[in-house]
Formats: sequence, C-alpha cells, structure tokens
Amino acid sequence: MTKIPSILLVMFMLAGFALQAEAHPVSYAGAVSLMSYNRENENDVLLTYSFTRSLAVGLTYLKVEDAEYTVPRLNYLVQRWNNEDSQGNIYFSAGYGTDRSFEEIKPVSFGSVEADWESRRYYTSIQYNKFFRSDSDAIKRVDFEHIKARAGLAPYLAEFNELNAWLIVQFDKMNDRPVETTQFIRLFYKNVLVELGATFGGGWAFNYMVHF
Amino acid sequence: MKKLMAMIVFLSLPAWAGEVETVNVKGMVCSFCAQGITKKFKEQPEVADVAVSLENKVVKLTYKDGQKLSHQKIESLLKEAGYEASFTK
Repeated sequence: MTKIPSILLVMFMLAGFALQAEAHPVSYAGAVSLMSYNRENENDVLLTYSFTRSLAVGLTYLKVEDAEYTVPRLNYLVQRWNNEDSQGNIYFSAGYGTDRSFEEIKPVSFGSVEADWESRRYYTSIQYNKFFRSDSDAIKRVDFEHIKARAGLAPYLAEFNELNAWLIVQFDKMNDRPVETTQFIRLFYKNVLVELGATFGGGWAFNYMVHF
Repeated sequence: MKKLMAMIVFLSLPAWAGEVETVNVKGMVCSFCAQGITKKFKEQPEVADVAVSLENKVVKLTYKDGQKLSHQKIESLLKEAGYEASFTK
C-alpha cells in the first residue's frame, strides 16, 4: 500500500471534477456495454444498455471483502461538454438491489457520481460510489464507500482503427482503508479495451470493457 | 492488358460512388467515440461508407448514388451518439 498525502489526493480529485472518462455508464443510444474491474479480493461487473445518449439501465455485480452486491441501476448523463479537442462528462447513478453477506441476503441502495475529462493525449476521472447497507438483528453492516481517481497519458496519438495505448495511475480509497495506488497500461482497439495493472504493494489488477 | 483494364476499373470505383461529405465533430477524442458515430451512420440506407479521422476531428460520409442525408439528420444522428456537428462549406 502507498500512502498519498491526503491534501494531494483532494487536489487530484478536485482537478478531476473540474475537468471528464473511460468507463462511461451511459454510451450512445442503443449501445450495450460490458465493463469489469478485477483485483485481489474484488470483482466488479457492470452491464449497461443506453436508451438514449443520456439515460442507461444497468446491472452491477460487485464482490468485495465478504459481501456480494447485485444492483439494478439507472445511469444518467447530467452534463456533457463537447469541446474542439476534448470532452467532459458528469454522471449520476442510483440503484436498489441485494447485499449477500454473513449468510444472509439484505436490501442495499446504491448511489454514484462520476466526472471525467479527456483529450486524445490526457485523461482524468473521479468516481464516488456508496452502498447503503441494512443491518440485521445481530449484525451491523457498515456502508461501503469507494472513491476512485484516475489520470492517464497517451504516449502516442492513435487513429481510429489503430491500437490505442495509455499509461494510467489510479488511486482507490475504500472506507477506512489506506489509499491504494495502481499503475495500468491500457490498450484498446475499436470496441475492446483491456487494462493490465499492478499496485505499488505488489497486487494485480485486470479490467476490460466491450461496447456492442 | 486485362490486368491493366482491371486496375483502371478498380481505381475508378470511388469515382462511381456517390457524393462525399465531410462533417466536423466536436468532442470526438477516442476510438470508442468514433465507434458509436460510425455505427449510427452505417445504419443509414443512404450511406455507403463512413471514415473517421480523430486527428482532423472529422467524419467523412460517402453516399450511395443519388442519395444524401440532410444536415438536420446528420446533426440528429450525431446528437444521438452524444456529439455535435459542424459542416465545412
């Protein structure tokens, strides 16, 4: 684990909000997207269908620590900035589903806000997710919060139909755990994207995304 | 001689295709963006081919003979894909 001074993290997050991302929860009208984020003790899958350019329905499956969340959700593009050389977005998502933990299935609510900005050369994003969990008579379930901030650089500018490559650094903060830093190499070609990552603590990460 | 004729015919093919229109697109910064745009235009019966240049921020539409999309339709398709159009004079 690498500890980042909190002031730097906050500055990075603010920079992310000021600017737009990759795992867009809403795509073009009629698009189906499959995204998956995986690392030690965490598997996250999101399947979406975009009705319009600003509204999508989705299904999240997240396995983290000892809990499994399965949440149908709505994703909304609140704002998009189409600039000459860049694009920025803000998204809101909300859902309601199940939390399978402690050999029980309990209801869980989900909320997320995401902002991103990207040009052909640079990319930054920030995402805040929260799962509002329900207690049992004997078990107190702590809400699950995850902040993910990313910044990326394309070492060369690729055209459409060429292999795109990005170098990315990601900071994760989950509940009261220390910040974890992961470096990724992202490759994408046409409608398929993969990210291979390693944490500064020696862990692995593998993400992929496909648009249909 | 046959080979030469075949080559002339092959090289002439683009000239036989319909009109070509170039549309400037704002916000088209990645292949994923371009994929959505390409898909939208290829679904149109008037369009024979779609070429994208991220460097020049343009989509080049090659129409079928005698057919064309209105600027309003192009704007609408780009909007559905999440982008904005501007047309070269």
